[in-house]
Amino acid sequence: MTSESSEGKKVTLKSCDDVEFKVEIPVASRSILLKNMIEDVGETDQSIPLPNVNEKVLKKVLEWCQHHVNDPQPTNDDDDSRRRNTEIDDWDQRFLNVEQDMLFEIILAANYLDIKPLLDIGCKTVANMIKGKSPEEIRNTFNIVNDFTPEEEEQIRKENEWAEDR
Amino acid sequence: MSPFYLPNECIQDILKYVEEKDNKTLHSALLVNRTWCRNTVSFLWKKPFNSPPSDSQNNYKIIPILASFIDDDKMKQFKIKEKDLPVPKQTTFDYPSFIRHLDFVNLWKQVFRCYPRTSDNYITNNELYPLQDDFKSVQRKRNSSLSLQDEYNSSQQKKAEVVKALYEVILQRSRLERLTLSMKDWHYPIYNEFIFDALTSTPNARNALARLSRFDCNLAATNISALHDLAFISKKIKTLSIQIFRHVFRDGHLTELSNLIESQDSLEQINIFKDHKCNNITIDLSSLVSQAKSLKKLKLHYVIINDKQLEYITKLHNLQELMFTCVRLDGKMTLLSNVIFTKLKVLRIYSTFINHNRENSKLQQDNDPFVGLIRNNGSHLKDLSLEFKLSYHPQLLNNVAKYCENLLTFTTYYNEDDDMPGIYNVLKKCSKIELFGIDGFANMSHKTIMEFSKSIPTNVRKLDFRYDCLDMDTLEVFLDHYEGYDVKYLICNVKGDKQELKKMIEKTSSSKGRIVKKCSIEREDSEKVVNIEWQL
Repeated sequence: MTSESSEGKKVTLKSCDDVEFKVEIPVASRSILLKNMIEDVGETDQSIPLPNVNEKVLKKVLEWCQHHVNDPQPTNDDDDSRRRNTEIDDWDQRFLNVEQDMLFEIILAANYLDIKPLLDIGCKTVANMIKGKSPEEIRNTFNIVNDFTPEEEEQIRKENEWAEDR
Repeated sequence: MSPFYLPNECIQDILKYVEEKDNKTLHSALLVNRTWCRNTVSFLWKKPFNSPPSDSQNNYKIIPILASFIDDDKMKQFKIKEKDLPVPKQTTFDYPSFIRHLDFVNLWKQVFRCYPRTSDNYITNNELYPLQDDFKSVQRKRNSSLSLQDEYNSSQQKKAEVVKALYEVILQRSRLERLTLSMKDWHYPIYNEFIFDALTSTPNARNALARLSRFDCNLAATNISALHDLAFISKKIKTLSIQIFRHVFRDGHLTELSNLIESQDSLEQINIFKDHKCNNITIDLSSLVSQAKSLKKLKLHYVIINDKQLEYITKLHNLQELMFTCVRLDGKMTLLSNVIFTKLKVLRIYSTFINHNRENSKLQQDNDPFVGLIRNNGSHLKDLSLEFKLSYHPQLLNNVAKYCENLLTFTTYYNEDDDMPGIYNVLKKCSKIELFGIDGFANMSHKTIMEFSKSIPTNVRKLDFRYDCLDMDTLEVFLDHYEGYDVKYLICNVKGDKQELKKMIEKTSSSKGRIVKKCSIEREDSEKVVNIEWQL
C-alpha cells in the first residue's frame, strides 16, 4: 500500500506495519533523524524503515510536518523561551485533540524521529493535563499503577513535606 | 486506555513544562509512582529555598533532611550534636545533589524556623523524621525531642554552625548554578560576618562558586568581604542582579560591584535595582563597558543616568534587551537619539522621564531622545513598552507607527484621551502586533473604552490589562462593545465576586457569539486575576 504526498523531490518512509509513504523531502526533514539520513544517503529509491512508528501514527506525524513545513528550524537559543511558553497554537491544539493513547504515540514518535517542536507541544499538552492535580488524579488520568509500598510512599511524602503548600 | 508507557526522557520533557514554581504539581508528580518519583525529584529539589512556598509552614522541614548528609567528622567539626538537630538516618535520594539554586539567607531563615521559639510550639521528632524507623526507634527519638527545648536557648552561633554545615553539604554534593543573597525581610545584624565568612572561605565554596552562572544579591548583603572575594573566585557569571539600599551604600561608585563586573569572562545580563529612597545616588556604570562584547540584557531600575553614564550604555553594541524602570535621564541625552543597537529586540521604558527640559515639559521631534532612539532602532524591535506620560512626547507614537513595523508586542500607558489617537495609529500601522497591553485602562471613561473596543485590529490576539485593577463594570463595557473575533486571550485584574465575574464573562461573550474556552479566576481576595481564552 502506498500513500502519496504532494509534488517535489520525494523520499519513501516505511512504517513498522509495512505501509509506505512518499513524502516531499522538506516535509520529511522536519524530522532531524530523517534530515540527517537523507543528507548522508543522498537520493535513493529505497524506502527508509521506521521500526518504531506504525501507519496510523506516521500519518498523523506527517500531517503535522506538512502543516509546519515552512516553520524555521528551532535553534538552541529558543530552548528557554519554548519552555517558559506553555501556550499552544490553535491548529496544534486541534491536532493534538486525540485520544490519550494517540497523544502518547505522537510524543514517542516525535522523540524517536527527533521533531523537537512536535515533542514540545505534546509534552506541553500533557503538562497542562497534570497541572494542579493530586497524585491520585494524575494516576487516574493516565492509568498509572502506583507501585510504591505504603512505607515507601510515606517516606517520600515525609522527606518532601517541605514542598507541600499548607 | 492503555497503561502509561512513556519513557523517562519523555516524562522529564513533560516536567520541564511544569512551571518551576509550581511545587504543588511537582510534589504530586513525585508521589505518583516510583518511575515518576525518580524523574521528578531533580525538578522539585532544583531550587528548594526559592520557589513558593518557601515561606509556607512546611518549608523548614527541609533542614533535617539536608542535615542527614552532614558526615560525622563535620558534625564534630561544626560542633553539632545529635540532640541539636534531629535528623533521619537515611533518605531515599541524595537530595542535596539536585540543588542548583541556593538562597543562602533563606537557608539561614529555615534553620531558625526549625528551632522552636516557645516551649508550646517546639517541633516533635515525629514531624521531623521520615517514617523509616521501627516503632522503637521512633519512640527513642520522640523521647529525645525533649532536648529540642534546649534549643530554645541555644546561641545564634550554634545555629550559624548548622547553616555553615548545611551550606558545605550542598556545595559538596551539588552543581550550584545560582546563588542568591537577599536580606530584604531581615535585619542585617543577624547575618553577621561570622556566617558570611563561610560563603567564600572553604575550598568547597571556592570550587562551587567558580562555576556559578548567576548571582543575585542586595547591597545590604554585599557590604561584606564576600562580594570582594567573589570577584576573585567567580569569573563565569552570566547573569548578575544587584539591589542597592540607601542605608548601606552612599558613594555611588560601587567599587566592589564594579570589580565583580569587570572580573567576569562574559556577562550576558545585568540587572541593577536601586531602592527608590536612594534619590541622590548616581551609579557609576563605567564597568559595564568591560562586558560590551557579551552583554545582551541590561535592566536598570530607579537609576539616575546622566550624559556620562549614558555614554557607557551606548557602548554596549550587542544589547538585545534594554529596560529602564523609573529611571531619571538627567541631561541632554543626545547620545540616546543617535545610538544604534543593531541587535536590540526588546525595549521597555517604564515611568522614566527626562529631566533636562523641566520648564518645557513637552519634547518636540528634534529634541526628544526617545524619538531618535525609536527612529534608529525601531525596525528590528519585536517587543516595545512605552509606559510613561505620552503627552510629554507628542511625536513619539507617530514615530513608533512609522518605524516599528516588526513589533509583535506593544504595551503602553493611557493617561488622557488625547493619547488614544496615537495608540490607535500604532495598532493600525504595526500590523504584526499580536499582544497589546495598556496601563491605565481602569481610568478610561466608558466612552473611551467603547471607542477602544472598536479599534482593535484583527492581528491582535492577546490583550493585557493587568497593570491596574478594573471594576467589573469597566470589563463588562469592554466585553459588551468588542465586536471582533480575533482576540483569543484576555488577562486582567478585576475587583468583584468570583462567581459574578464568571457569569458576566460567560454572558457578555455569548451575547457576541464568542465561546469561552477557558476562564480562570485566581486569588480569593477582592482583586482577581482573570484569564480568559475564547475559542476562535
